[in-house]
Amino acid sequence: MNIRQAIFASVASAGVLASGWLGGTAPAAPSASAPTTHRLGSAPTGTSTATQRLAPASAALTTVRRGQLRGTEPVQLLSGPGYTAAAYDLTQQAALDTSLA
Amino acid sequence: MSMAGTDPQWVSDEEPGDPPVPRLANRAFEALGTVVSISAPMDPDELDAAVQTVRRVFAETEEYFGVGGRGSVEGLRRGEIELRYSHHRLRALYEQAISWRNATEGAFSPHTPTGPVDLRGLVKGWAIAHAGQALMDLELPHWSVTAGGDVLCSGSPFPAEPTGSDPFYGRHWRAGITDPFDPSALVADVPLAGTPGFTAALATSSGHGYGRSNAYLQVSVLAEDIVTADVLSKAILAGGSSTLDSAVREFGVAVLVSGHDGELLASAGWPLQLPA
Repeated sequence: MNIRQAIFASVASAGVLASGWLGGTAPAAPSASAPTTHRLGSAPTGTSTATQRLAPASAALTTVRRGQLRGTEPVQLLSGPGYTAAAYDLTQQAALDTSLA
Repeated sequence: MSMAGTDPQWVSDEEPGDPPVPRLANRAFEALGTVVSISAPMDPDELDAAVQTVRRVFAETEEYFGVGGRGSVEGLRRGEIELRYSHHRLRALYEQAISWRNATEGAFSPHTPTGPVDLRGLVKGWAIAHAGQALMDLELPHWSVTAGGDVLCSGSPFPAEPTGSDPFYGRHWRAGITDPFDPSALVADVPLAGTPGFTAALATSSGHGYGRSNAYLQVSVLAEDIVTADVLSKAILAGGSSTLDSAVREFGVAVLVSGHDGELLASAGWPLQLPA
């Protein structure tokens, strides 16, 4: 067990989950009081409602709806191709627009 | 340059008598032909000092590898310089690239579609990783470095003292991913890191402008380090489902892909929102 797994284990045993994606080994399934973000390898409840209009070509993939991918919290960081200063400003403003959620 | 940052809820959570938590501050500069941004919950003067260190890392990277203009990296990409006559540092980086090519069964390639060697992506990842290490060497637990749309972060934008119910020092960073059909909008956002000293990385690659067919329109990868995230996002874009399956299985990454028809597909590790 590496240090990351040890942290997951200790936190899971305390009924508390880390608040962000860390990678590594999946912890125990979230408890009822867990935050709305789920951890690596632990499928969230509600996944079964995902649209299945096309069978994923990859065994590792599940079709998801946009609503499952956007939260309501403000973003501080941006990831995307074509990352220019202008795009950075534009997207930051867009990120603040809750109508995009 | 604007930046989202403060969260009033966290300010109101402070107990009377607690020392004030510095607001999230950010700085941006240009390097490696792109925009580099640094964010951290620090006093602006302290952040300026930290940013000087990061700027030096990027400047030294440009000098170290010969990036930009008439440098060696550009010369290789244009086919004007042969790799065997290039600096040993570039040849060492190329060896790393070949290791990634082997690990992805050829899906990742350090060559352009027309043949010359293109190490720009690896150089950027190298710089981001070393910038993050430099911030950790300064014993800064909470920070983010973004360059060219690749994200590496540690800790929290709104840190708090650890408690029994929150051993992770506060709320996570949140990163948005641009919509491949509308760059002014976001297609997803994800929580990152949350624990000082543990990095989380996010990289997004797009098939736009490559002039060749890719399996997906856009690929985002969550990993523990930025080079892995960047390389695997490019490999999955080119290699498709078989590369994606092996990346998830062998590297423990989480993946979100946008199909050419707008369909969104996520691996089991991708953080989804639970229904309200």
